[in-house]
Amino acid sequence: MSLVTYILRRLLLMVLVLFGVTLVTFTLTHVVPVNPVLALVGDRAPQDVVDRVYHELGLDKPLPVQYVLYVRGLLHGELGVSIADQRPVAEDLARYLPATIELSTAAILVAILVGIPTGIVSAVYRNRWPDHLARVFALGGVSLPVFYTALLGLAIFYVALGWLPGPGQLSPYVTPPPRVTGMVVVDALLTGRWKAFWDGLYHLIMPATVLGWSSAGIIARMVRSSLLEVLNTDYVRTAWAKGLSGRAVVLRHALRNALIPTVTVIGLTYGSLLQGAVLTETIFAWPGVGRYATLSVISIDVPAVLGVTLVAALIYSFVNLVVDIVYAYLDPRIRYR
Amino acid sequence: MNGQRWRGRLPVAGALLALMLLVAACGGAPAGQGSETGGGGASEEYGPQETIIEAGDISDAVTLDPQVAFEFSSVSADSLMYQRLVKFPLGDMTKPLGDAAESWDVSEDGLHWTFHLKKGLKFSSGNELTSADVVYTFERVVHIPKDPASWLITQMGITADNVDQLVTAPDPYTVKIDLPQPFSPGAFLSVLTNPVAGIVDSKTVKAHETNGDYGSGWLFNHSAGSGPYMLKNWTKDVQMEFVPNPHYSGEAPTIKHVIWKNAPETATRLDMLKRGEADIADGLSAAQVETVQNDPNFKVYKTPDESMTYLGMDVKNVPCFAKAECRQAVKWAIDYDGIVDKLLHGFGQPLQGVIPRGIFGYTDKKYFTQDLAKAKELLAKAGYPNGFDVEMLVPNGTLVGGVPASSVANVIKSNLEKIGIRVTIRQMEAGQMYTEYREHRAQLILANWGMDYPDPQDFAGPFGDYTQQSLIWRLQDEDQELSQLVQQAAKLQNTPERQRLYDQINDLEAAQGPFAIIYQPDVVFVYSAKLQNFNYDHVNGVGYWQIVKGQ
Amino acid sequence: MSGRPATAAPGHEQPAPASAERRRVWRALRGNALAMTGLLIIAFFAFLAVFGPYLAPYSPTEPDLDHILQPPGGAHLLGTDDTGMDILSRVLFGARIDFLSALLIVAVSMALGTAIGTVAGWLGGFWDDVLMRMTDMFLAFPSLILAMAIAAVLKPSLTNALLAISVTYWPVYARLARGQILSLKEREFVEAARAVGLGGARIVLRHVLPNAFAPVLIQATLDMGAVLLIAAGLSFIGFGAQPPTPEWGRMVSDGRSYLQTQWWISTFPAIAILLLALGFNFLGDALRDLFDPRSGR
Repeated sequence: MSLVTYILRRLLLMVLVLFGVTLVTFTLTHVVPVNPVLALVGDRAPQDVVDRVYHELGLDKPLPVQYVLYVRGLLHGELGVSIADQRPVAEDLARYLPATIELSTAAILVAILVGIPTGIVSAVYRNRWPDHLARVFALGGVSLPVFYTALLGLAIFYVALGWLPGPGQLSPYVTPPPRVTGMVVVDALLTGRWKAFWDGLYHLIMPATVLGWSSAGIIARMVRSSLLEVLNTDYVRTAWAKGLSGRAVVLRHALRNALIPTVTVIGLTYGSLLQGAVLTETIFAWPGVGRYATLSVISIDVPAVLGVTLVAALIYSFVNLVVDIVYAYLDPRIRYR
Repeated sequence: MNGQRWRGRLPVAGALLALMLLVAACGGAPAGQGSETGGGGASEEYGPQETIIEAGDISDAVTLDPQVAFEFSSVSADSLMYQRLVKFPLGDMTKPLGDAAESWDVSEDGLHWTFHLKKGLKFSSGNELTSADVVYTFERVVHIPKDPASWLITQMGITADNVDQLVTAPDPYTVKIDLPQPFSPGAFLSVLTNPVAGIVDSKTVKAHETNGDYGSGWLFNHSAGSGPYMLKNWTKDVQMEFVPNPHYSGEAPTIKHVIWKNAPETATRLDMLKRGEADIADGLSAAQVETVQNDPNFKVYKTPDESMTYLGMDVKNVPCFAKAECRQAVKWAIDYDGIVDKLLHGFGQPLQGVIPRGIFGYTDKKYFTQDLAKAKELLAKAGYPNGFDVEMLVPNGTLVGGVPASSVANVIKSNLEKIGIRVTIRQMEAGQMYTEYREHRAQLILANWGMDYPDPQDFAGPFGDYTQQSLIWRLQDEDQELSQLVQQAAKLQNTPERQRLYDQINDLEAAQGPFAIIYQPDVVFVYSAKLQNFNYDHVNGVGYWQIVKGQ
Repeated sequence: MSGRPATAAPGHEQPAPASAERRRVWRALRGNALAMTGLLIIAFFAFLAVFGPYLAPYSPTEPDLDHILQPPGGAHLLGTDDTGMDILSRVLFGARIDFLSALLIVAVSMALGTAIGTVAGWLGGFWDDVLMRMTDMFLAFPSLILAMAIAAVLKPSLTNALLAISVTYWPVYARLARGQILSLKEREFVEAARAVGLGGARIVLRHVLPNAFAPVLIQATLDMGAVLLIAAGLSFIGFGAQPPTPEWGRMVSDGRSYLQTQWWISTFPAIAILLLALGFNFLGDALRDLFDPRSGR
């Protein structure tokens, strides 16, 4: 199987998986005993208005018909209209997704910057105190309840010490940069709004750290075990015996090899950061898709829930695919699985 | 492998790696691109003394179209941006004054209203406000589909079919409204103070109509009003900003920039206030307010909210509740004082009638205090000496007054269990709870009722008249006697006779109604001591236009 | 990567005798400070889960309006919350709820996942394809959102939250088990069993599964920590335990608006969550280290 056929096969599977995801979500959300119309017309609307709108939205059609209509829209690139705010779901997602991507990217950067050195320390000092310390630190991150750490972080670093800014993406006085990508820091950089850039970066530190620390543990763990494996192979020993400096051995051989499986883990972790965002976005007043997802599930805003799950599944599948392709490229045996 | 050999080389390796990753991460973004004139700037238009930042929750806002908005934050925003025909002076909801209207006449039977408009009022576009704008505003309310606020107007009988005949403009400064059915004159004027009747600039809005949407798609995040402020910018879930309407006919406000910053967690609102990044924080809990109460840098504004927290009992789903004695037993079992004094830390008032203080028809009678022996006796009389099992629906989050709903629920559960009523709490999102409530699937429900317009009818109706298909109907209590009294009182002006009827209604509710009114919460703002003239009421919201901010 | 398979497996064709392997693991664990700390923490909370309710000085669900918001110390060692409930008693009762929740979720998803993975791996071909595509689908789901949706459908309650998380967690085990079965299937001892004429089900249950179990169990230990956090998180956003149930995530949520004034309300349950999760992660990490062939033991 060539790389191209491999990718095509994977893409086909991805489409299948996505259809499965919409079907399951669709079925699930329609079992809920909540009338989504209430979110739209308000609790005080007379019953006949509720019934009329229910009919207008097509919610009284048989389920299979509704699903077919939904999929037909999907094939035309339409995600439907949110029931709660009457805006196109695609528009909502375009508004909320960039903030989450920005936060997740910052978080994964924190995770990498913290996780890789921690993993290296762990491997090199295996089973000695620096290893223990590094592992306690990394595992501590994995064990933290983010919903509490986020609150605590604000109470300490924002209120008590004043070292870091409060909730939100920017300070209220700072004018947001014109929208290009929707990611505040990136947009500020692109348009040269330096004040907004630094302010946005500053606001990213705490949420990214809270979110990234837990992923750092996973990365550190992978680096440690991969590095240990490489450090034990003959060629590293040979390289060492040949008299190259130890520094070069670690960098050139061991690390490069150890980073391949680490890349996989980073990719997968990145794809699942949305989960953490669900819990942290509310606390940091972050206008992201995690919060949108929560609110949509709560009000059983079916088109919105479907849109979010679909996009999340798409991101996850896509990241997975990219990781696998990179992997297959680096290690040709994978393709013939 | 012996780790010792690697010692000392790691920092370099780590630093190199970090650098590599940073370069990789930034590689995608073309650094240094962009105009040299950048660096914000727009925000520095107004100085700190001209700016107010309020930290609150604005994530509920769906649209800012005044005829459609029905969420707390969007209605408050429209209240700043749109003039109505009449308004209440800030902080006093007893007698409406003219806003866009100079004066008005009403026929003997209370059906035919004529409003004479002030001359020279201007929208933020510079267009003059005329009777055509008022007529267009009423058309919008009844014509826009899926409008959660339209019931305020349609309840008077004005609908899409008859609005053209009922709301007319004989000349540019006169508006005639003919009601097709009797409606309390007091209630009528009160409804007109609601932003649903906020007058929009018909020329501007019509220019933005698409597919016959009455410009609703555009007004979603733009403003076209004649109020003291206009919308500068709204980023959903982030912030809303207002600047003065340059053509406002009244005195120009000294506060030139109002920013509402979204902070869903009350804890972070307090944080922002303490760090000086917000001038006003709302919705704080009593415990949070206590931390700044003695701080000279802050002031606390507290006033009774026009709302109440109540416990509803479904008289069909729970057999015991069908008996008045059983409902009475519940009312005698609740520790009202404990809830107000301890849970709310005094951030609420005792209230046992269905009309809150501040509204005509209010009664300060305390029908019940906690008396477990009496409650038990009544329960036995109802035929349930050993109590029964019941499920209580409770909304998520905090109730007005800043107390977690679950805390109030826990106390009530414990109260009721003392007389043998075994309660299972089921807490859910408000939307889900109201669905079950409307579909008559509740057994016991802890909920909040807030005011839409300051007339007793807005309370007595839902709580007493089942034909309105509101609260009492949801609890399946078709009380004819109450219903007739409420309908009788609705037609009257605020006379002593009307007061007598409401007294009767309150007595009857206490004796046999399916509600245990638990308390009236306070609405609380904590604000920077730099602010002077801070005032608020339920209809007008915070009066930013009159605030002066010192150094 | 080296030529070794990524899955953990004993290096010999003959499965190592279970008892000898167990002894080796135990010896290694005993010498591992991290593992022992983890075990101690887990044992401590297991003790609380069993005896906590007997140690609690007050009722965990009875409000006491005369003693609200008491700071830690005196009659209330960890203070009281806004309705006067004793935090210590609630944390103690919560140990049983949270520990059992995590255990239950992992057990259910492990059973479900292993069963599906084993069937897929053993049968291969069409069934393998069908089952694994289903697994892929569930893996692609944002699990917290799916769990929220399921919890919303089933009416919010602790049991339903546990169920919802289990539904989203099994695919990991399915993949793991399938990989194990695939690698074991071709081994000599399985071939031998086939040659003797043993039935498929019997071979799987008696010979293959026990050998595939070690990595699944390690994964389970590691997952306990993660699952504990997810269950608490779901309760935190209101899809789990109902008030006044003394569930830790719920308690953190109830105390969040009091964080700056009465820090103890959410801090103590948060510490309990952190400690127990740490315990599981310490032990799981050490175990994985022992079994991971790449760690070069």
